[in-house]
Amino acid sequence: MPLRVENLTVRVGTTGPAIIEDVSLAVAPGEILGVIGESGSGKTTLANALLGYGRDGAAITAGRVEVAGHDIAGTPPAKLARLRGRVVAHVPADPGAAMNPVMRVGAHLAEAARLLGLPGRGREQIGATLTSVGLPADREFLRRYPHQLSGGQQQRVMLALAFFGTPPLVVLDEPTSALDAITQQGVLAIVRELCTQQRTAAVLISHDLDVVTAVADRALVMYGGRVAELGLTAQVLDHGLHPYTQALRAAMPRGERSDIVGIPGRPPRLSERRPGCLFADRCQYAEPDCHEQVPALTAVTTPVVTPVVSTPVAGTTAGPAAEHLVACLHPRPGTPVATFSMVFESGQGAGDGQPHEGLSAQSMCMRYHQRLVVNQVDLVLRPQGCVALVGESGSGKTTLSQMIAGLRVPTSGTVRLAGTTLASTAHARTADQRRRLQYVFQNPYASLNPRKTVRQILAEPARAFHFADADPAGALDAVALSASVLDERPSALSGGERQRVAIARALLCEPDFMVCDEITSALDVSVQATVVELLGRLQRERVLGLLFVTHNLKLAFSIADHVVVMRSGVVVDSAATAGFDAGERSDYTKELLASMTAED
Amino acid sequence: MSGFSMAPVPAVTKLIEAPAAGPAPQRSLLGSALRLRRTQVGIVLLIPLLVIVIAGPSLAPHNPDAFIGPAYAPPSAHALLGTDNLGRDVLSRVLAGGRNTLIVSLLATLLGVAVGTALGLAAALFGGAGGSIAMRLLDVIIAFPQLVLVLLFVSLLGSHDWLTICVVALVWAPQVARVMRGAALSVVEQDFVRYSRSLGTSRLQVLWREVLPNVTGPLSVEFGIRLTYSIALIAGLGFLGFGPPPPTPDWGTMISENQGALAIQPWAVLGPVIGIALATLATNLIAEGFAQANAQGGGYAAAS
Amino acid sequence: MTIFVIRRVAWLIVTAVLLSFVLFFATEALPGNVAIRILGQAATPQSIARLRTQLGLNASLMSQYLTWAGHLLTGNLGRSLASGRTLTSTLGTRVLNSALLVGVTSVIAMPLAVVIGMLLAARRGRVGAEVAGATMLGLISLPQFVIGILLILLLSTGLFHVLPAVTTVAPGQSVVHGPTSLVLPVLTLVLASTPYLARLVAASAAEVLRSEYVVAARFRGVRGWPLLFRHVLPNALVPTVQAMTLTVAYLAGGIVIVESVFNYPGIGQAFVSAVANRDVPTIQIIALGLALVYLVLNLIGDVVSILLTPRLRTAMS
Repeated sequence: MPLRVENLTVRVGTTGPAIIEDVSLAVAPGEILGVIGESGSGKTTLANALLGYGRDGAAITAGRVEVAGHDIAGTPPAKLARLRGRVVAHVPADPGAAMNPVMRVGAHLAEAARLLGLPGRGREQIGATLTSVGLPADREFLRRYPHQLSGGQQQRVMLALAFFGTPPLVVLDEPTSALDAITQQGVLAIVRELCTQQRTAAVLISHDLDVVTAVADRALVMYGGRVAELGLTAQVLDHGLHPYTQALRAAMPRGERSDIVGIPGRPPRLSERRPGCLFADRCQYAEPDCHEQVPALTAVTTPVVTPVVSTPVAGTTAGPAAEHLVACLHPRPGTPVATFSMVFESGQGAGDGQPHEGLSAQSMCMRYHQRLVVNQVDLVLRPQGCVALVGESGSGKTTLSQMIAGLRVPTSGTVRLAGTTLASTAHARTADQRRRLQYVFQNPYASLNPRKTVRQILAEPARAFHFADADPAGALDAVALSASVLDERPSALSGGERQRVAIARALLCEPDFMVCDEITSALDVSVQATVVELLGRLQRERVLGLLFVTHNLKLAFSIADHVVVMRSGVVVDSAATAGFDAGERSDYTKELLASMTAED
Repeated sequence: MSGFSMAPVPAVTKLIEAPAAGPAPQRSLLGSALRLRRTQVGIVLLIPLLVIVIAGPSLAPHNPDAFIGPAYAPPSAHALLGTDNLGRDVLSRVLAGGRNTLIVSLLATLLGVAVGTALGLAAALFGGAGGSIAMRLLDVIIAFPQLVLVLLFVSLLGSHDWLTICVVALVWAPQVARVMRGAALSVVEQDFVRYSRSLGTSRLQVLWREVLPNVTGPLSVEFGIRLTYSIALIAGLGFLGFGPPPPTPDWGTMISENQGALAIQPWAVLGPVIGIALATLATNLIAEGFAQANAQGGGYAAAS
Repeated sequence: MTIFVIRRVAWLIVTAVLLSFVLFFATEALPGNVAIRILGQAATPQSIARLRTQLGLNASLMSQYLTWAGHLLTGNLGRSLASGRTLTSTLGTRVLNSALLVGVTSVIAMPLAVVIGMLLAARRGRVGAEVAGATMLGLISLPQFVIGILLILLLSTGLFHVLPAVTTVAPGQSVVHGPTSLVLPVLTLVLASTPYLARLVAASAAEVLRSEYVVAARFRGVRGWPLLFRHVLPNALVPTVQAMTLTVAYLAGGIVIVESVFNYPGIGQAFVSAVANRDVPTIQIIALGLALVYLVLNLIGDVVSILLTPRLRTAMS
């Protein structure tokens, strides 16, 4: 058995709070186990524990980790180093940061060859392993430094390094989070192929349900450091019995116009872990005993799904590996996710009609270092419409949205608000124009002054626009934050809460249009869903036009009535959400759509 | 639009939700610094110095300029630290001589840090091409070793207290400006500053309200470090003979006056040496305390 | 890459010229009639006038500067006002003595600082590291001349009578004649500069040890010396290189006061007496020389750190 984990508990120090508690799992050769979790679930701690590593003083205090027969927890550090790379390998989330900036690609591989004791610098093997991950094996490539590789290439090098010694177990910690959607697909395919070929067991950690669905044979859902559910992927994700799993599913953008539902509240911090089920205070089905008794991981007697998928993996057709385990005192099948019709009845998010009432950008261009980052882009946003601006990193979408908001000076182009041309910098616009067009930043950790209280932060627009009767408590209420937050500093709030404060700050101005620049990219899926829900509600209640910038096409479909796809500074597609995939779409958009559906 | 970076915005696709390891309350910098042992030791060491500054001359058992015995007499009940090269009471001179050095150092540091911070912050926000050129010009001044620069001025204009204060401040201002500019730049790039500007707030108001409160960390560290260097510099000036004119007691001057008799009456030198060492140790420890507190707080502007 | 170096060198020349300009004008503004000082008692209005013409002091300040600059470039450093002898002869041995002092100090202090810094980073939190860290904190606080005096007390006059308290070499002579005179000044400077550098190395190394790529390397099974020499050291040294050049520059300035403590026959001591005597030509030359040393060292530091960083190196070419 490549991996067997029994009742693993990792604490902060030997007596501190438990980061992960009583985790048990097993992975067979050639099998991929997807570990799903959001922030605070302990998934990275689990990944590190499989390598015998504890960050910042974390230590294994109970349980057993057995990799190919070796007892990881009981191995002294000196011997551990010999196991790493040969018996268990690791693929990181950020491949750019995980490569030594002063070592060439070839040097990284040669070092691995040396550690494996390969004769003659292992040149043949290096070539073979590079080919297996789809990278060139020529001298020119080997001589490159990490910063001369793209993100996808870097991750492939990390995969090559991990699979080089054909270890029985490979741990992948969010291997595709830092990559574009299309690159993600390629990397995941390599992982799948290598695991099958080398009969390697893999533990793949991800917050993205689609990634797990695409490549994992079985799935394990973690919450608050404990296992919530474990079983075949289709079983867990489509027919999950744990309320958290179901809620997570409902929070994921599904690529069609439907309400995504967030999970209210936030995951418990280490110091806040109370007795009983940790999900109880956010669970809509919670009963009194849920707050007292910790639910044990028990097998479900009648699994819905029988494995039909032809995965060439041994041992998943029957027996313990096909078990469906749930840690809930009152598991129940979830209600099928309903598809609601369009929220915004007007259905004319963009297009012709009465452009002079809305926000429009014409022939926007931005040149940076001889490159056109934004190239002749037109955009129209009607009042109360929602336009999603979709693109990967480098597409120019953020630059465009910032130009519209007056945060960046365009090289050329005009922005008009209700027919009046706006100055290119927000500073030069009239106060009324500034008020009517608000911008919410991507990074909630940088958009609020850490030295101010929420009250002071909300007072700023009131002072700038001379509002006589600003109501900060009311603004917080509109974003579902309690007024007790007013006297806190941003550091006391979670990312989702900070983003709500940022939205409240924008709402205080009673704007006509709001530009939301990837405001959910840095948030957990369930938190993202709550913010999107909030935006939907705000649109319903006020006359508010939204320009929603995102890299996630599925998310765009969930919220917008019109989608604009950008690539390398140019608009490649612009169409209403309804019937988007039916119409004539560009090749790039088709690729994006394909990468979406492939993961379902 | 100066003050805004023109580089393309990088995409953040990694999750950066608050880590599971407990809440991080925002303690004040002062609070965290005071909790550290080194700051506490520094403050303890500072107390006798404060006493000297405030009440030094009145605590002296004898008149510092009076001849109370033979030259280089060893410590006795009459003169606890013995006498110096002219037969004056060492202890009295130490108590009286500290005040000048310490006050001049403090004033010079205050002036230098104030000017330097103003320059640095302005360069960061109003920056752009003008800021970089200004920095290059300041680099020219920084090119001179400090003591050399100060001595140059002294050679030109003689040594008076007010002059020393201005010159030493002039020497520190460019270095402080450079550090504060770096600190301010990392704050200016943050979204909340851009937001404030987008509301129409003037640059000056942004500096005052948004930037300055976020650079208090590096500011206090710089102040502590410069104060330490100022004391060393001004004592050094006295040692080289460019301090207050005799017979005014001055720690630096006392050391050079009595260096020749180190073998027979070390206390004439040790007295002022201990005074200087205490002062520099105290200020540096406090500066270190602030540096550590700042680094742990992980604010936007990390100390250099 | 070469273009970058050329540009920096050009900038260096511009700065040097600017400096010399400022220096010259500032020092020439000294009140006091130079001619009177030279002639002393024998000054009569006619002799003063004659001497002024002779010294070229009646010409405009700008042409005086150009003459001076021209002399500099041809190697004529002028004459000392105090001694009357040419500066090339008086300063020659002194420059060598000071260079020797700075050189020996650097050769000892830098490797020492790197080793101590690395050890501090590796053994963080342990008792030995805490004690060492505290000692260095103390040393950093103390002014250089205080360290010097304390060393004299300790090793010369007070506890151990091992070394001479004052230089045994006469001014104008090379220190090679009395090498024991080198020990205390070097020791002082080493004690003054090593802690600062060591802490920088330690901070840099600690950050590297925490970095993602070191963790990733350890996950691949790299450990021990290979980890240190291939992953930690190269990345930790890059920020330290500039600090090292700054340290040498700091030493160049530090010699001014340390040489005075030990009466060491170097240019630092010469500078101090020149200031005391208002010996303008000497002041100008030494100040300019020290500033130039600083600028050149800075340039070398910048270039070396770029060469050591692949990301910057490839961006240049």
